[in-house]
Amino acid sequence: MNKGMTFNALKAGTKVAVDPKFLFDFEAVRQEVPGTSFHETTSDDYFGNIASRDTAFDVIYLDGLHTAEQTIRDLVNATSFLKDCGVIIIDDVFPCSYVASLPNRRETRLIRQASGDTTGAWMGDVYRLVFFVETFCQQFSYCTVNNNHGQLVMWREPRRSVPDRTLTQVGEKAYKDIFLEKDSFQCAPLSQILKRIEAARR
Amino acid sequence: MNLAPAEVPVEPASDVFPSLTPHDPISRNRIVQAILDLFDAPITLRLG
Repeated sequence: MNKGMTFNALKAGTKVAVDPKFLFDFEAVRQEVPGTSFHETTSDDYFGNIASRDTAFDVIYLDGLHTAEQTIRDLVNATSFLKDCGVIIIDDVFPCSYVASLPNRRETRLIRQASGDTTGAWMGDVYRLVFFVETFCQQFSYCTVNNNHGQLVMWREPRRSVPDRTLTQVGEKAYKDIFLEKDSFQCAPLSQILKRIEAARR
Repeated sequence: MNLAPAEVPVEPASDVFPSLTPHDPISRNRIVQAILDLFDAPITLRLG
């Protein structure tokens, strides 16, 4: 969550944040902003031990560890705590470079050092989640916001069909497939995505 | 002798897919807030 600037600026009735290590004084924010709570723990611990069974969210924003496995686990857990008309947003599905798309953070750092790359972005292989959603989450429709660094938005609206793709094929997706199979990302302007969500809720 | 060209021609960026450096990108906060605004007093969870 870095310094909490994104989360703290959002306007909502109730805000819950989960992060293994907050880099700001979350106790102070909790006292100053009513309806805000913080859980300094992993997402697995939150979903397994802290979140109440009757908890249901309107909007869940996933920006955890940038690996496909962890983000898919967060996504599956999130669907159990999402209201029927709720929306899930997943960050960083579009890595800004090949190096930024590597799931192993140590390898990313070593390649950066060897190649003189001074950028620090790391999105990992979260892009593989898009192919997972497309193939295995038929009860959800989704889009990736155009002209953004890669935010996927998904909501409950069944899709008529899904691609014939194995789980192994999803796991073997590579950085090049972001471009070669860009239709899978279903890129759309934010305004169009909002209209689709509203239409699905009627 | 069959020599490959030194450089592959670069095609113009597509407007359909976000480029590596999107022009005038929408901030993540604006996107999340726009979706929150679809709800009355929304309850939201953020991981990470």
